[in-house]
Amino acid sequence: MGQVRAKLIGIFLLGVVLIHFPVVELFSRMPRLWGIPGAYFAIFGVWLALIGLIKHYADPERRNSKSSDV
Amino acid sequence: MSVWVVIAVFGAYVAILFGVAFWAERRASQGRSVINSPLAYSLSLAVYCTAWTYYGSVGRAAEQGLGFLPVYLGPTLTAPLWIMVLKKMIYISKTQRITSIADFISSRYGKSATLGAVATLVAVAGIIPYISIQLKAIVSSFSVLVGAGFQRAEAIYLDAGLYVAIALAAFAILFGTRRLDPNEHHEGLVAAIAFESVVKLAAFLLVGVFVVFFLYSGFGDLFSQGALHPHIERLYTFEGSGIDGNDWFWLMLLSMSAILFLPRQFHTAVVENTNPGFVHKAAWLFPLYLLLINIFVLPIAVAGLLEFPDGAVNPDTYVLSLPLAEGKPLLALLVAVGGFSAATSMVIVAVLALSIMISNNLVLPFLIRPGLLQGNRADDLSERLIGIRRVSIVIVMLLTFAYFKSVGAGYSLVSIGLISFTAVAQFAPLVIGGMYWKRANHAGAMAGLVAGFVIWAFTLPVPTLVEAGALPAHILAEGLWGVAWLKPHSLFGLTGMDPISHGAFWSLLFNVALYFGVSIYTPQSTLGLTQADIFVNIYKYRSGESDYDVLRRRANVKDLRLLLQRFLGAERAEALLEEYQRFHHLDLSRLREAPSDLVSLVAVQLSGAIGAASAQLILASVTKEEPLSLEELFKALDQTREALAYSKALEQKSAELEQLTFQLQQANEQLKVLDRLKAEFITTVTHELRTPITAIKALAKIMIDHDDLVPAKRQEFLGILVSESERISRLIDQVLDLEKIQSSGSIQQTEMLDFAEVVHRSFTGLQQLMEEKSIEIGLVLPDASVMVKGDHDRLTQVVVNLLSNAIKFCDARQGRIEVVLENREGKAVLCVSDNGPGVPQAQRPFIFERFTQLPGTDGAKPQGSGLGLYITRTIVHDHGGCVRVSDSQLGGATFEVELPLA
Repeated sequence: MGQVRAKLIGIFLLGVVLIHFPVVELFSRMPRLWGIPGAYFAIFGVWLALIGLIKHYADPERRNSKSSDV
Repeated sequence: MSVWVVIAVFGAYVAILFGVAFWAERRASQGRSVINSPLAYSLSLAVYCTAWTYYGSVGRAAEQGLGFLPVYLGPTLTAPLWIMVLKKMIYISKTQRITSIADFISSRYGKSATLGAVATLVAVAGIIPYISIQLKAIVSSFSVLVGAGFQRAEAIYLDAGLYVAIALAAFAILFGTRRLDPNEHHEGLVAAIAFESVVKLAAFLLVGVFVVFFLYSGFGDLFSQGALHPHIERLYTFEGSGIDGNDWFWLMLLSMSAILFLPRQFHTAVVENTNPGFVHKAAWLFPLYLLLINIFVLPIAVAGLLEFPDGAVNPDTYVLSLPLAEGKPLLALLVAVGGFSAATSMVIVAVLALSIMISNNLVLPFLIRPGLLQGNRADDLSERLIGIRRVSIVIVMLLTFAYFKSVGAGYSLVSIGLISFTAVAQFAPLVIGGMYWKRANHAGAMAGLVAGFVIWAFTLPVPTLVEAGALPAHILAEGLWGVAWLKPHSLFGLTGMDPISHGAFWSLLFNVALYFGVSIYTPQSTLGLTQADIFVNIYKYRSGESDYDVLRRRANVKDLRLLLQRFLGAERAEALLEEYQRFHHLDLSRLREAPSDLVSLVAVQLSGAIGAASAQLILASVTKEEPLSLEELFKALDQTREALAYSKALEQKSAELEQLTFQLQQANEQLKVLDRLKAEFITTVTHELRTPITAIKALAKIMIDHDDLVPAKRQEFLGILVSESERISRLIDQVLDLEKIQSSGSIQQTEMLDFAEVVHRSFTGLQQLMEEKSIEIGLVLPDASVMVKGDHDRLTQVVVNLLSNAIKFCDARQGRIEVVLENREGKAVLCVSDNGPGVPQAQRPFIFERFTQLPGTDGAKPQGSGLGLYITRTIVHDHGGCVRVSDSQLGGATFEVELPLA
């Protein structure tokens, strides 16, 4: 549990860094990709990545079934 | 579009909502719950997304680009922490039967009724405007759908708001207050909320897909077209949209607290939670929901700005205006239903949550009087409690409608929503601190909450009231009472922040500072301490490692039964007691006084029905004892001390016992040795007796059988018989002597006596015998008397024994014996010497032991009993002296006795 806790707190801190100033400001200066503004693209990308990380570490049931599949 | 079509569609939607709720309740009563799944739980959390999200986000995006996002990013960031924080909140609330965020705070800080009431006031003041803007959003969506003519008919406009309010109040009453459930589980209501979450997401995605993929050919196309207009392109970057780190930070922080501490969020996430394990799935499902519902916000805003460049259309209504402008009224109607669902779900849950708070934390603590249970009114109070709950719902709705009518119309969805967020953020220090910091106490919580609330009220709602004309305008411009640093928008002269960041900063600063400061410097009450321990260490309590009861309360079974019946209804009360009896194998009807765990059980059950603080008050009226007083604590402490002292005494005793056992063991060893010696002694004695007896028997037999024995021979035999008999009698005498000495232990009768006289007398007694044996004798005595302390007879025996031995062993033909007594170095020394064979060096260590015999003068047969010298040594030792043997100058042995002088 301690391991998982540490990882979840790590995800939180990672999110705080990535979705906060000054990093978001860097995103916003990125050129548009396929016409999509850099900030929009990056923030939703980070958002999705965070969801993936939370799913991986916070949802043990999922992890179990995954490991049993393998 | 016809008003009647719109009304019919919305009416139909409300009917479907009722249907879903009824269906869910029926399923639940059949034991096939539809909401008992992580997905339904996650969807019910999406009550977070209101009309603000649905309409307001687009409006904000049209002004500030991505500035609407922190409100959804905040909850996403905290989601991984839910596994710790939210689960802990759920565990605490389940064990304490907590029914609202105000109840949570009241319960944590010593079940304080006043704190619960203050928290309720904060929640009501903060949330009512938020609810009212939902009504506004619904009505606005009507006007957009129906057309411009609608808004002018103000009567209808207000009526529409009223009807919606009535319908939603009816829903909340029907599915929120059907019965008094201590768990506050409302299956139908939660199912309806989850259903609404699906509807609003589907509708919003529908309009998003329509705008992005039908009006434009994808995201790239839409954004590229927008980029052609500078006033749109600026929204693509942070600099362009004017978002600074400060606003971004405060919005994110406020939303982080809002996702768990908004009354409706607390209600769905904690109170309605049926399984804490669902949190694990909700932690990623809910952020995913937020992502999906936000992904089209900026594109729709861009499309709206492209479509309506002149600014004639309120950006808050783009989701409706775009389909309408494109000639898709049906789509617009569907989207409006989505918006309606977003608004109604929020209203229903928020109203229910507020009504629970109002009835349990505001009304009941002040209604409950000690006399409430006296008298014979057997009426069921649970009905009345539900009545209070229903009235509360109506009051909340009326307040909402009043606000909507007077103030709310002038403000945007987002700004009012954020004011509510800031109000609710005042709970965050109390809840988070309360769960992880045991020291936090009632005074600190009260100080922090009140300070935060006052500053919030001054910096955020006051300006809106000023603008609505309810308060004089000079407060805003010149500060309160004309004091410049008391301006609501630049408190203490702080300028350059937007009102929300400004208000959040000051209110939370004072809140947190007072919360910690006052908690540190004020003491904690006993009940507060108990509750703090339960909240902070909930896992310990849940796993049953620590089920100690600091609250020792006594109450009559009858009173408790009455309480349960009054507040839960007779049926539920009996079922509960029945279960308790079964579990504990008790017959409550035989008990007068209830066990303390029954009191605790009743407390928990009542807390579920009427809130922790009210339950505490009610119980106080029937219980005889309050939480352990200081005195009792000391008593308990004393008992502990006594127990400690007792155990110390026990330790001592056991040590003594150990010692005693050791001594006993030693004694036992000695006894064993003595016993062995005794046995040996007896064996030897009997052997010594048998030898002469055998000889006597043999000789006597010979004389009987042979009459014809020569007289000389007969004479010889008779001589042997006599000497052998003498030997036997001597042996017996000595054994008796020994017995006497040993049984009496050390010498008993001591007197001052002249040892010289003793020696002289003994010598004289044996002189005859020695002369008969023609032994040459010599006696040397000192001139003065030799005084010793001792037993006369025994000392005589010592001298006689030594002399007898000398006589026995001296040379048979020319025997010589010398007795010398002298006074040497403060000791009386007696030397008895003979000219016998002496004692060989090897025999000397054993000569004084029992039954050590030396061969006689003629060599063949030992003459002694083997006891004489043993007795001698024993007596001398008893007199504190010693006895030695050495070679004598006469050629034989010298026995030397040393006795201390008196």
